[in-house]
Amino acid sequence: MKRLKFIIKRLISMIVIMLAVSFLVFVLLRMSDTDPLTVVIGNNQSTPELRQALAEEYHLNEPVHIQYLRWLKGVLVGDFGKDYVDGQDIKGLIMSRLPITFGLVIMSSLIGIAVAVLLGVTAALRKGKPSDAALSGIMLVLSGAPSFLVSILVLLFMTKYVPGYSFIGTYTNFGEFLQRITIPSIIMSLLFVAMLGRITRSNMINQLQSPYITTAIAKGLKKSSVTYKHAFHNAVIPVITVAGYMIAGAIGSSVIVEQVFSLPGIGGLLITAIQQNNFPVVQILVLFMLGVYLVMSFIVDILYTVLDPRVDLK
Amino acid sequence: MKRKNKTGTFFTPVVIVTGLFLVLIVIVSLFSDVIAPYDPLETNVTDIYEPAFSEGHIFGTDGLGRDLFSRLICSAKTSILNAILIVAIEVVIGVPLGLICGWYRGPLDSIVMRIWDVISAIPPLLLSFILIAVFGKGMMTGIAAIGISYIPLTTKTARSMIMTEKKAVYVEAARSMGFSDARIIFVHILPNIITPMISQFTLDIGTAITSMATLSFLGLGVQAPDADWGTLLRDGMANLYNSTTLLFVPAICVIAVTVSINLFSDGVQNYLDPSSRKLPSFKKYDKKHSLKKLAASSEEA
Repeated sequence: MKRLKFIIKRLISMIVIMLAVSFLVFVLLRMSDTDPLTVVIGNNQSTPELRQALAEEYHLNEPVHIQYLRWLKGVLVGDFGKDYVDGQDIKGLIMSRLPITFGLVIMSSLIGIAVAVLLGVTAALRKGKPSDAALSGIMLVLSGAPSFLVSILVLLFMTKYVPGYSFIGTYTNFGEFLQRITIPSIIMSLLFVAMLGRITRSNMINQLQSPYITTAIAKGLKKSSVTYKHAFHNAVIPVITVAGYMIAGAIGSSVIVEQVFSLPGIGGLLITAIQQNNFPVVQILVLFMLGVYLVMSFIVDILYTVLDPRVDLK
Repeated sequence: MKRKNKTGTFFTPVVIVTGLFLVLIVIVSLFSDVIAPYDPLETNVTDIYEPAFSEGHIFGTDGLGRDLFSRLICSAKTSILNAILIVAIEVVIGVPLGLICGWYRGPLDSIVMRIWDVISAIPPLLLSFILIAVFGKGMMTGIAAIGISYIPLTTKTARSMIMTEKKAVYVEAARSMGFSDARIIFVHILPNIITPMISQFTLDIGTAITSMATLSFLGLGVQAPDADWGTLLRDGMANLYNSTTLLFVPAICVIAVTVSINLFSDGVQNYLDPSSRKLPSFKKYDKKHSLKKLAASSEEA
């Protein structure tokens, strides 16, 4: 009952945030210096007839709130409209670019979480030894390294020393797709390793020092059973929550990696759209990225209470 | 992993080295007009893509024959100034707002906190994209966008700190003497709570440099002919196949500066946080009177 109330409350606040942001973005874009009509006309000869026709086609003559409602109605039924620059269907545009972005996010989080948990547990079990200091040091350095600079350095290295490996640009089949996203994913996963590795380590150390571990050892359980069945289960819960938030945030940070490696993902689409004042694309992408982030953090919060019954919903 | 500052002095080797490096960078960027051997915008078609360490150009030249060293130190000024502006926005808006909200509470507090909750629900990078999409790309929008994404955390910290400080005896004393709220908040409480926040602000300068460089790198921040380190990285990226120095030098530069700022603010934090510092006087006392030996001998006896 409590959970249901919490879920409903969160769903309402999510919908309110998304409506508010989408409305603000829509209205403020229309209030900016750029006239949408000039973007639509582009390089065509601007005649009064053409202006009239295009304004009618894109519904630019109507008042802003009518335009917003029309747009919102379209979004709700899955019709995102046409973009201002090329007149293409935005839905198709986004769909063709989703695989790269989701591929990057999924692959980087899988690699990142696996490596982070492994390193964190290893460091915790060797607490105080040189190998722990080395691992912790590496994670500290990684957490300070901005991902776009790391991508640039990796790109420099790859172009110079691994000339045969093509990892930039578009792809035609699944093999090439994997080839494109592997290296950027590894770079994105570094952030996961840095953050989650340190959390895993400190949690694991905390758990290993708690009384129930002493009890477990006193009962004569095997060391592997104590570490992995008892301590690890409790230590991993906070890691899962932070990981969830990081996966949600990775949608945003994939923009940078996509730009550096010239990958056709939605990040690149957003940047180009902002630069070309392509309003409909900007609106829908902002809403989309925000929506994914909010839904992910919602799922994480629910998951947290399922995994750890001690946590109270509020 | 918190390193302990055992000596109790501010000037640990790490702080000295990084501090000197940062001071050097700031001085060079302040006097960039004098130090730069060439005009950073001067083009020269005859020597384009000169390699590093070539005659007259330490870091070589770019596709328009502009001297990379001159461009680097002139854009350092833009980068550092922008970062300081971003942190200034954060401090000037975030801290007073947090103090006022925490002091008066009431409807203003709940409204501000609700808005900040919404803003912090959006990842910082996406928030900058939204603001830039709405207000147009450019240096000032970029600075404002990044500054705004830093404000909620500062407000929340200041707010929670003043709420504990409110109950302190000296606040009550100041109140009983009839001082105005503004005087109590800004003259009496602010100096007490600003110290722990200073290391956060130094750290934020580092992240601000990277965030701004990221925006400029994506072409949404500083626009030509102005340049910051992000712009240099963008140019270097475009000319990757002609000269790798153009990308390598600014990248190393940004990394060196941000890592230095991180280590420096770590030092500041260690110095300001008394719990991570051992009292030096006691150590000296301990050594002088050799209490340990006494204890050992008494144990033996």
